[in-house]
Order: sequence, then structure tokens, then C-alpha cells
Amino acid sequence: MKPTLILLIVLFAIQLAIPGYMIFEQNQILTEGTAYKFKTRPIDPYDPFRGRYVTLSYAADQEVIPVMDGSNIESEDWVYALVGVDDDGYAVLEVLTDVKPEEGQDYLYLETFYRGYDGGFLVSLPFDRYFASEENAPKIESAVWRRQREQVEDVYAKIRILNGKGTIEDLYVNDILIREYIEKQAESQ
Amino acid sequence: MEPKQCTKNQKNWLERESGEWVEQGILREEQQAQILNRYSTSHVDSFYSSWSSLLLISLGAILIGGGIILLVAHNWESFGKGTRTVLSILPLLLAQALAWYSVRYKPQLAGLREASGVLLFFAVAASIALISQTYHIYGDLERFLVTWLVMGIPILYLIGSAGVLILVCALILWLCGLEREPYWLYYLLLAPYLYSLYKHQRYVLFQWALWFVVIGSTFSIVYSVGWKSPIDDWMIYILLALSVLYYSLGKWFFGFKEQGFWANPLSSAGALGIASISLMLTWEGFYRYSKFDTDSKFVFNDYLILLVFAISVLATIGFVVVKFKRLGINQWALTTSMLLAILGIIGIQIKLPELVYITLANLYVLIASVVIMSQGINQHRLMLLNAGLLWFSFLVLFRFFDSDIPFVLKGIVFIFIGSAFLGVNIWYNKKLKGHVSAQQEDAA
Repeated sequence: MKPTLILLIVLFAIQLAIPGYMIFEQNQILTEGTAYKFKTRPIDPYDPFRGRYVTLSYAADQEVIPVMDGSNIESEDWVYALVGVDDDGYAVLEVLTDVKPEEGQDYLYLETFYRGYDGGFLVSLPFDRYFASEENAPKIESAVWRRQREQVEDVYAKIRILNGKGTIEDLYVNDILIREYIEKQAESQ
Repeated sequence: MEPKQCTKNQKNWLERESGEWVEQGILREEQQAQILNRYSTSHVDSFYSSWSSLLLISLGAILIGGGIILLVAHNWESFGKGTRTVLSILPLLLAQALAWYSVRYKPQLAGLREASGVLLFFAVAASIALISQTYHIYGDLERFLVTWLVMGIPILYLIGSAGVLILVCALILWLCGLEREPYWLYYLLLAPYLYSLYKHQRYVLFQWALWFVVIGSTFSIVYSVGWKSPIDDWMIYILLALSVLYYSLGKWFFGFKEQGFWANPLSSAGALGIASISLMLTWEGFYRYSKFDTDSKFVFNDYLILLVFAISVLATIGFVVVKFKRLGINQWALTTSMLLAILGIIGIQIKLPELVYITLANLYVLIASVVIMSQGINQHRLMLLNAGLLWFSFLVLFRFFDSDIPFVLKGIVFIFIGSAFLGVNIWYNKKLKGHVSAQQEDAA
């Protein structure tokens, strides 16, 4: 066989390996990762390649996150954010550090943006896209926003976290899967 | 012996001329046939004949690929993750199959090769994007583009699809606009492809590919320097130095013989860069703000761009030294603009007043454009004459509307230069007449 053809096969294999690895990594996080509830609010933009999605804006990254004593962190650095749970059972980012946390402590690896006035940093949770169909994306947004006007604020994303990476398992309203919730809404109207 | 490639016009000319030589008895017919056989237009022919079908096939491929992406982007939530994963990889598998078929079984079909390369290029991105959709993976655009690029460049080499070259150039440009990183270095990976085109005498393709690379790499370098960079204000001088480098390299590689504007992308793009940037430097403002910004932080990209500047200066000096005897006065006129670039960067440091720099820049454009015009007249090259004229006219137009110079001074300078032109013209005509009459006397 000609060398070009062999190289072509190698290229094809690598091209297939990239989505393959992505699938493997996601499945690993989803099966082995710890589940956290991140309180959120969705809004509905559009991506020509990947279709409709809702942008999730989380309560956990609205505040300035303090820096652990002894850590040397600048803005636009990649840091470890330790993940904990508050009294209501929602996930919070407790503290930022530049030392990799030990086994057993869940953390997210993310980039800092701005320095806050008290020495902490604002960060942005990266898993902020929930892809849905053209039909459902606007419905998710409107359903959830109406809920919030009625002061029912139990909208959250279930995130699995493993080795610094987080991935969305699903979106819930009042502990009901978002898709089921929208169907129920449609029935009741 | 492999026949040399030439254009159809050249071949026609040779046929016509050699036909006359045969009639005049200088050549025998079999010698004419032998000579004609040494020149072939096959590459040009195949390029143009496949060009139209190539375009149609590529457009078709892009539309079908886009359609598949839209169908999957609809997000068939009801299918479940497994089915959707298979569907996401399907476009990539189909494109790979087509590319394999094209390379393995139909290597002679340029259109198919072109289309399958473009399709595969998009399929790589589509499969990554669609997997991201299925698993709600957040988008890191930079990493996505780099992956796409690294997977895309081998397509250029292994499938030989020239359309992919344009797409790769566009991707690099996108990346450079995104981050202050030296992503423009990826252009170096395209150099072997350009060289192979040149070596295999596929000149038409080589020329337009080189145009893309020259323009793309220049813009990519400019975009990669953000406003936060300490060398941001030096970019205009670095760009000028780069233009001189392109111009010199073009002359160095492809020779001094005039081949037309499109045939030597390096020299043509370089000359355009020199002309436009030197005109910008005749205005106030650029020089004043070109001091070194000590507040900003140097990043790796900034050092690399300074290195590019140093290489441009050294290579231009090398060009001038090596080709010293062959340099014509118009080549001197263009390459000396390197001094403006160097002076722009060191001027503030050695306390050179702004007025001196701007005056020098104006004088440079004035002298260089006049030199180019006169060379155009002497060598009977209309294109050169027009280029010089255009350059000169812009300078005049800019200074006429320049509100920073007092009217009286402007008026005096305009009258002075205008008189100089008329004077030279009268002197030249007299000299020409004297020359002609002397010749007539000699003949008599």
C-alpha cells in the first residue's frame, strides 16, 4: 500500500478518536462523578452548528470567590475551585487555590476573570449550555421565568463532577425533569 | 524528459513563430515538432477545464454537509444518547469514505478530490460540535478551532484539496483574532504544500495559493497583537518591514524579470504594502504615539513578532547585498522604505522630532513615486507608470487636504514641485529633440 494511503488511515483514525474520546470522557464523568445541584436560570440563545440551547446562569458564580491563604492567583489564571454544598443542598464554590486538591475533595478547574475588591475573584462556571430542540428551548426559558415570578425558585442543573471537570446531567424544575415538566405544562393548559 | 509547463498564450506564440521559422527554412518540421513537444499546457488545461465542475461540486458538497448538520442540530431529543452519538459521527464516516474512494480509486478526478477534501474538513468540525450538543459540553472556542485546524491541515497534504487551503487560512485568521498567541506560525505548515505545487509546475494554483497565504499571514500577525500589547503602536512599522521583506523575497525567489502583477504575489503584495503604509506615515499622529508602552506586559507572541521584524530587516539587507549588481533604481526606491520602518521604531528613543520624521516620510513617497514613474516611462511599462502616478497622486491629495500645514507653505511647496515637473519636462524634451536631430545629422 502507498504511504499516502497509510497516512490517510492514520488521519481518519485520529479524526474519529477525537469525538470518541469526548464521548468516553463525558460518560466517565456521568457515571463516576459526584452529583451536585447548581441553582440556575436559563435563557435561550441559538448556535448555528449545534442548534438551540439554553444558557444557564448559575447562582454559584454570581459572587466573588475568596482565595485560599498562601495561594498566588492573578486574573486569567487557571485555578482549582473547591466545591461544597450549602444548607439548602445547593452547590457552592467555597475557595480558590493554585494547588491541586487531594483525593476525595471535589473541585472544578476554571479560569479566573476579575479581581474583586476584597482580593477574591469572579469566575464563570463553564458548563453553561443546555442543548434542546428548537421547540423546547424557548419553552424551557418561558416556563422557568414564569415560575420565578411566582417565587418558586427551585430550578437547578444536576452536574456531575470528576477530576476538575463538570458536565450537565439534566435540568430540573421542582425536582421534575425539565422535559417532563414542559409536557405537564402543555397538558394543563 | 518531462515537458515544461507554459501558458496557452506562450504555446500559441511559439507555434506561430516556429511555423514562420519553418517557412523561412531556419528549422525543419521535425525540429519544430520536437521543440513544441518540450512545452506543455496540460496543467493549465486540466486546471481550467476542471475549474467549473470543481466549483459546482464543492458548493454542492458544502450545501449537503450544511444540510446534514442542520438536520442533526435540530436535536432529536427523542432518539436517546446512543442513537444521537452514532448520528453525530455519521457525517464524519461518510466524508472519510468519500475521501478514501477518491484517493484510492479515482485519483484522476480533481473535482471529486476537491469536494471530498472540503466535505471532510467540515465533517471533522461537525462531529465535534454534534457530540458537544448531545452531552451539553461547554464550548471552548479556541480549543475547538485548534483541534479543527490540526485535523484539517493533513487533509491538504493527503487528499490534495486546494479548497481546504482557503479554509485553513480563514481558520488561522479566526484564531489570531481570538487570542494573543502566535497562531500565525501555523502558516509555516503550509510552506511544503506551496513548494510542492511550485516543484510540480502547477503555477496557476501555486500563484493564487501564495496570494492567500501572503495576505492571510499578514492579517493574522496584525490581529494576533491585541491593543493590550506593548508593541501595538509599533505594528505599522513592523507591517512596513514585513512588506519590504515580501517584496525582496519575491524578487529573490522569482527573479527580476517582470512576470505581471498576479504572477509574483510576494513582490506585488509587498509593493502594495509599502505604498499604502508609507502614505499613512506621511500623516501626523502615527509617529507621535509610537513610543514603547512600558505599562503593558510582554507575552511570547510579542517577542516572536519582534523577531519577525529583525528577520525582515536582516533578510532585506541580505537581499540588497547579494543582489547588489542586479538592483534597479525602482527596487532601491521600494526597499529603502525599510529605513522609515526602522526610524519609526527607534526615532522616539533617540529623540528625533516628529516634524523631521514626517518630512522624511513625505520626501520618501515623493522621490520614490517619481522614480517609479520615470522607470515606467523609460522601460515602456504602463503598469509601473500608472502605479507611480497613483502613489504620487495620493500624496498630493493627502497634503492638499492636510489641515496641519499652513496654506501659504502648502501653496509654495505645491508651486515649487509643479514648476519642477514642468522644468524637467521641458529639459527632457529639448534633450530628446537634440538627440533626434543629432541622429538625423549623423544619418545625413
